[in-house]
Amino acid sequence: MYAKLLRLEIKSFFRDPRFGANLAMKILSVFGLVYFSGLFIMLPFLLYFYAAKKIHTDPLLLFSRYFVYYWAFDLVVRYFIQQMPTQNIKPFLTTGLTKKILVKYTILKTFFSFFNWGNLLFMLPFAGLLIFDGGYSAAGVLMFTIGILFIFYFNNFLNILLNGKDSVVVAVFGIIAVFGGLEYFKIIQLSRFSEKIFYSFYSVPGTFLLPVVLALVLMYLCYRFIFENFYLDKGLELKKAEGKTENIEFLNRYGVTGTFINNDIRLLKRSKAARSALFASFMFLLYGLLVFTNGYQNDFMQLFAGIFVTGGFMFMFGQRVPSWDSSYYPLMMTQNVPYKDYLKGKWALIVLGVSVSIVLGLGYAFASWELYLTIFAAGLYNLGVNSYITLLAGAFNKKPIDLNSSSKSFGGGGNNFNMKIMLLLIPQLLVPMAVFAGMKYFFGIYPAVASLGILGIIGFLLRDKIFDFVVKIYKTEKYSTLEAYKKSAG
Amino acid sequence: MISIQNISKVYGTKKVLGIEHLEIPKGETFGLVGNNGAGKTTLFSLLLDLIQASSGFISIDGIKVNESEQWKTKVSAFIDDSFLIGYLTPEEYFYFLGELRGQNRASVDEFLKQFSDFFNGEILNAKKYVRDLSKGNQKKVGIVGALIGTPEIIVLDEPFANLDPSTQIKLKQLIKIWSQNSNITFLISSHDLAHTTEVCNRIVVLNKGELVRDIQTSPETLRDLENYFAEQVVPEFEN
Repeated sequence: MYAKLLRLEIKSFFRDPRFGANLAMKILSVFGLVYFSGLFIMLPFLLYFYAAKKIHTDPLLLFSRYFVYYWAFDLVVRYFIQQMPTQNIKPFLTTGLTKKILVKYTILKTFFSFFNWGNLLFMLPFAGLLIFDGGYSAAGVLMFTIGILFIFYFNNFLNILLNGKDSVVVAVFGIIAVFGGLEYFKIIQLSRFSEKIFYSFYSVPGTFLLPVVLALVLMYLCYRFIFENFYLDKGLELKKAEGKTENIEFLNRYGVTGTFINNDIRLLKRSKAARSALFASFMFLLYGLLVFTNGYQNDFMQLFAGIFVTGGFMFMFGQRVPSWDSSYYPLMMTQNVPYKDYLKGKWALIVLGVSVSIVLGLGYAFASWELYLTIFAAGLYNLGVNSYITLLAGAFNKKPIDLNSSSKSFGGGGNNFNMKIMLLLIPQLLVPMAVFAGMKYFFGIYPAVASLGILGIIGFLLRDKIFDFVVKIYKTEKYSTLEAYKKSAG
Repeated sequence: MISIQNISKVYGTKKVLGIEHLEIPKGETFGLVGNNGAGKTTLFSLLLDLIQASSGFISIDGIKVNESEQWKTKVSAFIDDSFLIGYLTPEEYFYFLGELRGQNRASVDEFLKQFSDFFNGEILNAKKYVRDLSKGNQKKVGIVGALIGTPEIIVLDEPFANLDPSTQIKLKQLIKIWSQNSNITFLISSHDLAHTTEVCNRIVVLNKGELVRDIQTSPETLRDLENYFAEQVVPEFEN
């Protein structure tokens, strides 16, 4: 019985739209998977050799010391990303399978979630290193690994029980964050306790059974919880957010453009796909950290990083205009929509996104003022030139967006990389990189910043021309865009 | 007002629509009936310039819809859920459409008052987004959305499907009252012969893309239509 259900599971995995796209996308996703698995496998080596050879600390001790923070991080990430295992069970409710089997199967399924086995990619090489290189006792390391593994299972079941209780998870996160702060200022050191508890899995035989027992208890509670809520109107129903009519009043002064901005703000707040694009654009802020690695020790690459630091939102959001409106594109096409106002609305949001990034990017000024100036210059270029070019690139992008799914927005569904979009990368990236590096080499940093600023102003002056051009593309591509959006809807 | 000339739509080798000539005068309540695949939605999509005609054209007030966008100020439509914006509340959706049609919030609110009975208390202030409404309630939102701003031409594709019986009756009343206004032209498609004959003063039957009947509604129309469709059915089920 379970085997049959499992076979369905495998099918659902391979027929996931993320894989279905085309061969290129398939290769890309496999490549991505290998890459991330590779990273995970690399980490224990880094940790181990950093601890053992660089700071001469017991790697196991170092791991245990900070594991409590990772534990909290894992729980929070699970809470927001890991799917509830009950989501695909609906079609089986009226088949001949008993409820018990279905609930057990639901729980069994979670064992195969990446969130659970993914950790083994770290734990197994780490255990191997400890035994074969560090000469730790094999039995102890085995107990330790089992203990940690079951802590992850403990989180897995805790996550199910916590479903829908945002406040609890936020509280856990808040408490741990406070402890992290206290730790940093050496007031209360949570890591001391963490070290004692987790290290004991290794040093005191039998303690590793504690998480095993705890995980099993939670598993039983989960079984009971799911069993009791195994109804369409209880646990199996996805929670629907309460709708609230909102409007940012002062935007109404800007006429139809204001209406569009208001709508896009609602989109960013309420659609899963748009929210994860927003999250991804925050992650881009961290892209600048790469500057401290080897490949980025030249002006070209630093400006490259700067464009992504300040342009995260621009690329994540702007590149996919008008796809954000794909699910109701026919509506837009039959309304008396002034396209220039529509584009101006999107443009205003992009400008806001870039400006916020420039301000937040100030954090890099702590590292190096020159680095921040580079980022600032890139920001100016993004504001004045790239904000339009991105919208232009978007006009060629005909992949619809499913607003209710978050997976696709991370490129899983795939942007269609066509030649035109690739060619537009030249003015988007290569031109500012060349100008900035050239000016800096000959005249120094401030003229280099100014030169990108001037390019930005030129771009700003040409804005109406570019908008008109984009509108023209929208019009000529109208039928094929409508058709492309329709295909995936059906 | 609406003039259809030699319009055809061909996909590959399959002709899904071919109408030589059809005029729809102002103020008419025009019903389009036919089986699945008869070309009803295709005709509406051509009228709204959502797809390109293989030949011929449709013009509104003498202006071809695929050449100028003038018609957009006169026409509103609800075809399917791609005319709804899922992440908005119904109010926000109505305001959005209102603002695009040059109405402010207050006038939209005033306009919506007459629909409180039609909405049955489940739509306004229901604290739900359009995507979370039931299919029937979504349809109501779409239909009322198409009425906002009192456009001259209102196109509704299958407005009766998915609606509960009471709402079907209310919708028929609404269309009848609105169509008394001689400035408003309704274009309504439906599978339901009874509803269509009740509200429309002219009915056109499409079959496999071709115009097969064009009748002014009279008391006998319903029986006529039923007979027509009965004749089309070839007995194939056996006991």
